[in-house]
Amino acid sequence: MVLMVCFSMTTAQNDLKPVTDVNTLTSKINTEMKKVSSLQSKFKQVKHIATMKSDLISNGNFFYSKSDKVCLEYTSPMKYLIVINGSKIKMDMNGKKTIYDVSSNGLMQEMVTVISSCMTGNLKTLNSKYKIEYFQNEKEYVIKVYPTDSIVKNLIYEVDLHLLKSDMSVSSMKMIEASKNAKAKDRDFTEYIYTEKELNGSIPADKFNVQK
Amino acid sequence: MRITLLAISLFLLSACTPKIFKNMEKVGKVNITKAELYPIFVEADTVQSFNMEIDYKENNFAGMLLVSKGERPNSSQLIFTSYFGMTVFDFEINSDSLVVNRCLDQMNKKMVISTLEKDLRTLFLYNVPERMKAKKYQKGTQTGYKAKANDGKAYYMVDDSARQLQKVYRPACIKALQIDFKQYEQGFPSSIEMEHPKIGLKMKIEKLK
Repeated sequence: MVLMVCFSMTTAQNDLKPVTDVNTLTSKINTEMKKVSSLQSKFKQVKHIATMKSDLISNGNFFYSKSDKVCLEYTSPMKYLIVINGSKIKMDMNGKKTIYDVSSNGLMQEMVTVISSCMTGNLKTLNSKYKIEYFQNEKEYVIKVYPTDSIVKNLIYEVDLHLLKSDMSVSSMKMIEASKNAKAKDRDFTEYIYTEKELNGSIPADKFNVQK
Repeated sequence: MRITLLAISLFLLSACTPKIFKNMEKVGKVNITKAELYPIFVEADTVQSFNMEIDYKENNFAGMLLVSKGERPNSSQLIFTSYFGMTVFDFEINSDSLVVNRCLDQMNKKMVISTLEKDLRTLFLYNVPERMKAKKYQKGTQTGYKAKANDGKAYYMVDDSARQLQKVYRPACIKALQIDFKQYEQGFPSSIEMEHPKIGLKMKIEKLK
């Protein structure tokens, strides 16, 4: 049984074929993105550390509001809040709030852009500093985003974005970290898996509040 | 004249008593074992996870600290990740060295690594030999030890009745370090506060249940 599961997982990964008509797909993604004004879901965050035996699992609620507002409300194992609103990031732990303005920090701004763009599927915001490859299997489009900028490349090796073909929504996002001299299987990664998605629902504005 | 001499003697005596042992009575020189300091981290096969907050001047950063047995004998592996998921550092430390498996370039500076190395070695008591000589101070159930650890002077405060390590102080001109172990629950402090008061660096570690 276990072998069967492993085999089917491997097959699913190997099943990926390059998308031949990239222009059609990107215009389809852009069309679908235009229809989305907000998104909320549950998320599971899986942190894989190559040198550790087991993965770390966090859970929480995800909120997105067009076009540059993201809120990650962690509920376990710790209550923690990360809000991205334009160039500002707020982190809130037990009422202790820290606010950063990343507009003066090129690297941080770039990180925020790539993470929030991939989390929401809004790839239009990614500029020429990224190489994007498109793949598909029976159920999903898999978009691989590779930073080309040397500074960002020091942090991120690759971001894999999974879009469901059924509604073009993001089902998961995997951020693979750069690590000097590491083989692909030895790289740390963080994967966000979205469930119970609700598109265009009403989200209270204070979810994206970045004031103290 | 007598009052002046008494005042001078008291001043000299109080000057000799480390601040951390204020109001404690000097007992004398003793031989102690590492076990008498009640180390909180003992080698185990499980992974312990903590919330870790770092305050440096006006900046605050939080993430998850994972502690597990290292690959080398008598070593520990420490991994700090941001809540977003990015690995900030992955170190393996023992009494002799700190191996950097991974560290963000922005943090991978000699001064930062050496400060963290000394702090972590102090926290894990890797700098404490199995047996050492110490000056003992006492007040009630609280015992203070002033000792020379492998990497310099160190002061330890323990509660003998509760068998708990309460404080560690490492004197230094700039990078003096104080560690407070607070609110023990089931034999482990629920909060550990490490502070370098002179450089405005504070780290707080809370065990995740």
